[in-house]
Amino acid sequence: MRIIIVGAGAVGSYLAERLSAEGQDVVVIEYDEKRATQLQESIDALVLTGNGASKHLLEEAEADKSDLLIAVSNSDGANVLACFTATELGTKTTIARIEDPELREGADRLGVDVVIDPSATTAEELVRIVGIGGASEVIPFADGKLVMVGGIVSPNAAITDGPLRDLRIRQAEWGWVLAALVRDGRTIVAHGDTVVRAGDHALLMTTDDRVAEATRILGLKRRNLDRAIIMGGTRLAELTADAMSEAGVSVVIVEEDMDRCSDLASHHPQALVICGDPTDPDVLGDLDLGPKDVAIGLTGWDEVNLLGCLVAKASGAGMAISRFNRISYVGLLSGLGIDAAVSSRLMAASAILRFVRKGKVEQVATFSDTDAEALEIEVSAGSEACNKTLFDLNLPIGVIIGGISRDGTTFVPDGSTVVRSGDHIIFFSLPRDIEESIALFTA
Amino acid sequence: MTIKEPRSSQPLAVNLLKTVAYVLGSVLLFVAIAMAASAIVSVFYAEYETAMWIAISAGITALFGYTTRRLVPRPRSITVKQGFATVGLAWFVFSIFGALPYLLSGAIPNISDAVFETASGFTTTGASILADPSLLPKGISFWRALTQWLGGMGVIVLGVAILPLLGTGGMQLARAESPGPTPDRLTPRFQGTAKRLWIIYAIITVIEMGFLSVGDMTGFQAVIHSLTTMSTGGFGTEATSIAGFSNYTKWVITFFMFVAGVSFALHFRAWSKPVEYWKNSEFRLYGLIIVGAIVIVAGGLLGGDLEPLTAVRDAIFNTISLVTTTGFWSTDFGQWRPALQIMVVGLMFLGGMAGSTAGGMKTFRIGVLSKAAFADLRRLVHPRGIFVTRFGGKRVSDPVIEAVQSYFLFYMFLFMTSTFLLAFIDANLSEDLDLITATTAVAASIGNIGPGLGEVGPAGNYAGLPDLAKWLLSSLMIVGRLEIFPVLVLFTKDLWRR
Repeated sequence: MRIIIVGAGAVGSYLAERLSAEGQDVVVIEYDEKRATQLQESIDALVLTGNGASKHLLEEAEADKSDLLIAVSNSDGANVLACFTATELGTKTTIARIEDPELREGADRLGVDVVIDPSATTAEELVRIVGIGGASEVIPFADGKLVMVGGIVSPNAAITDGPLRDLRIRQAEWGWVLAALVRDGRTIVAHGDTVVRAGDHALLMTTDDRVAEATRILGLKRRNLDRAIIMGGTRLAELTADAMSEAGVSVVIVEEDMDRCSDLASHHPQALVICGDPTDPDVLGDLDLGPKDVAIGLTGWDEVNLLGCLVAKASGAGMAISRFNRISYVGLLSGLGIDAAVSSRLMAASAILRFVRKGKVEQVATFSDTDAEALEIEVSAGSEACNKTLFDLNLPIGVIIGGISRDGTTFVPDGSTVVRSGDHIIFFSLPRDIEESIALFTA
Repeated sequence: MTIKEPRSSQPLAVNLLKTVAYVLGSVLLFVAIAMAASAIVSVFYAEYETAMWIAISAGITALFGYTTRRLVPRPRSITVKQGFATVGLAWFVFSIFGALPYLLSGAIPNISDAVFETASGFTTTGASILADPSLLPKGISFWRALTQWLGGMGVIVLGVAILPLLGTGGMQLARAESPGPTPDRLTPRFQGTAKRLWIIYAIITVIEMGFLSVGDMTGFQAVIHSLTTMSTGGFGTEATSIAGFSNYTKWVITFFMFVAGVSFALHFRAWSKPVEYWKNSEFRLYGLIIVGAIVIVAGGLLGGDLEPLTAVRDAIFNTISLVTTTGFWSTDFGQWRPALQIMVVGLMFLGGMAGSTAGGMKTFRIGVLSKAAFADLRRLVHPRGIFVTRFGGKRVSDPVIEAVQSYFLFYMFLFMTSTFLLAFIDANLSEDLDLITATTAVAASIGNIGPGLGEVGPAGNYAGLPDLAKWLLSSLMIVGRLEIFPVLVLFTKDLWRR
């Protein structure tokens, strides 16, 4: 697939790296020469320097032969214009990041097929994580009826008690399936004789009414969080503040810049805005942090987020969530007091991979510490999997089915479940098996 | 999300050697296939014993390649630095495997000679220890030409083109192997670019075969000479190189040597739009250098007692052969008058365009070097002036200029120290070699040209040098072919430290 990416910022360069490593033909257009040179050194893609909305440059990038254009530069206007020009030239699908909600209206008439806003999706994810209080990921599938819950398995958790085969029998009254474990940086797709250990990062699939059982079996300490301390006054922080207030969590925003603080205070009257350094123990000390507080580091700097979270945790906060731009931090800084991490890059990748995968892929979820993906796909009539039981399907070894949504009902399947056309299948797959498994469900 | 990334517990050196082993494993399979092809040629000419030995060589190489590939796990990723070092080491190793057919078949029984001939082949140098290549069995002669053809575009680039060798790492490897400072991308992915380059390379080679076979060459000779022209190698089938062939053949080879000195990415672009050639300023400079050099050489020759037409033809053929670092000759330029011989030495440093199969310093570097020097000169006159070095209408960034300057420095430094070393070896192991032989042997090896002057000139060969000198020159050819840095990086402490 030929893909043009406009803008090599945090999201653009991550997408370029991920997609080119996957074997896609990627052309990146970046305005800044230095950044362009740097990117060209590190990835197997063509990097052009210039304005991504210019017709001349898009022609050079062969927009006429491209399947997808992803405009993720930091200007909404330039993104829309790039999509417009690319559509004129004949690019099949265009995706634009548009941050200003008012600009989204009518964007489809300007050639933008899909609008993404990674910050907004990150804010939603943060609300879900805080809502469950203890999980590191909460990813909804099939319109929210199936949920993938991720978390670090604690010692003495019920799931560590013997191989999964035996556990399934003991915990048979509710539908769940353990998709995978990430242990010491390696991804293990769960099978009957897998034994879960404390400290593993487990990804478990269940229906939305069984999330409580899911967190219990993983031994996640559920906290009833009622106050969010948001560090930083970025756009993501603002979106998160609004979403939290809406969900009934009271919000404190800590921001260093005085002018920015008064702006924040006037736009978010429901939040308490504190002017101060979020990494200063005195500033956080004044807030009397307790176990019902969650600290969320959302400044633009990874190091500030990390330090702020650590200080908050040490001052008594019940949970700390940090936003990282550099995804490699997520794995490296584990066990240091960060309970969960979010990244707008991963959110953007999740939103976009759907268009890169062949077949009727409805949703793709990506993870910070493994290249594996969770996908939701609609089974086409006449595909190989149709009318077969999962047992007879001969799935690749790196694939596990987590859930099926059929005619408005959702359930976690077992080996005897028969796949029908029109089913939405949610499965977890290692990167090397993704293509093969998608092919199974596609006619 | 809280799992620690395992840190590599192995020292860098071990990781590096694993990568080398993996890459070698893959590349040796290609080398084995090429040997097998030579064995088939041998069978075709009824040289059954030679065919058997070449086939055995192929078997050994394939077995070695296959086992290393199976034993060593595919490396996760390769950094730029590792890619350079890997290519540097790999070239030394497969030059040794490539010597097997010579050794086993008995065509070249001495190991120093056989490795020299192989290194000279893969690096497209064309220096030979053979007095008369027409005495070689056909299969061995074919293998000799094939090493040049494979080495011209690069065996590792071929690996990247055919296998998705190492994913992104393949790009880093191919970069280290491709001649020129910045590889031109024809497609977003390097694999696509590598494929296209190899295809255009193969197509032009076949076209040359067609042209040569209708002249006075036999089919076999046409194939051999096409393989070694397009790779700017210079191995032939005759002791007198091209001198004994007809004028038609000489003109055809002249044209294709010129073509081989042009960037293959440019050939690809210009295939449907020939005007692209003229638009390319490196191409114009390449043409200008060649025309200028021909005028000087022809002027020098016309003053002699040669017929004017012969003088001009000799000037054109040999100048293009030297600038493109092919190393064919139509007349013994070792007999030219001294002033012209100095000119010959100078031409050995130029080389063709970046992205061609030629050796030498490359037109791009010469252009940038002189423009940067000129900018420095202007800076002296206007101390407050800002001068930007431009090449081909585009600004050349400072890191690129610095890389070109240090390349020049390394090239000259290597040339001088190696000349000294060679003279030293000779003084101690055999009778003294004259200065001309020592300097030109080194220049012709680093520049991948082939024949030098004096004892190693067109009429002579490298057989008389002591073994140690042959190993030195073989290494220099590889250093020159890989454009110095991939080999020199092996000697930096930073590479081996954790």
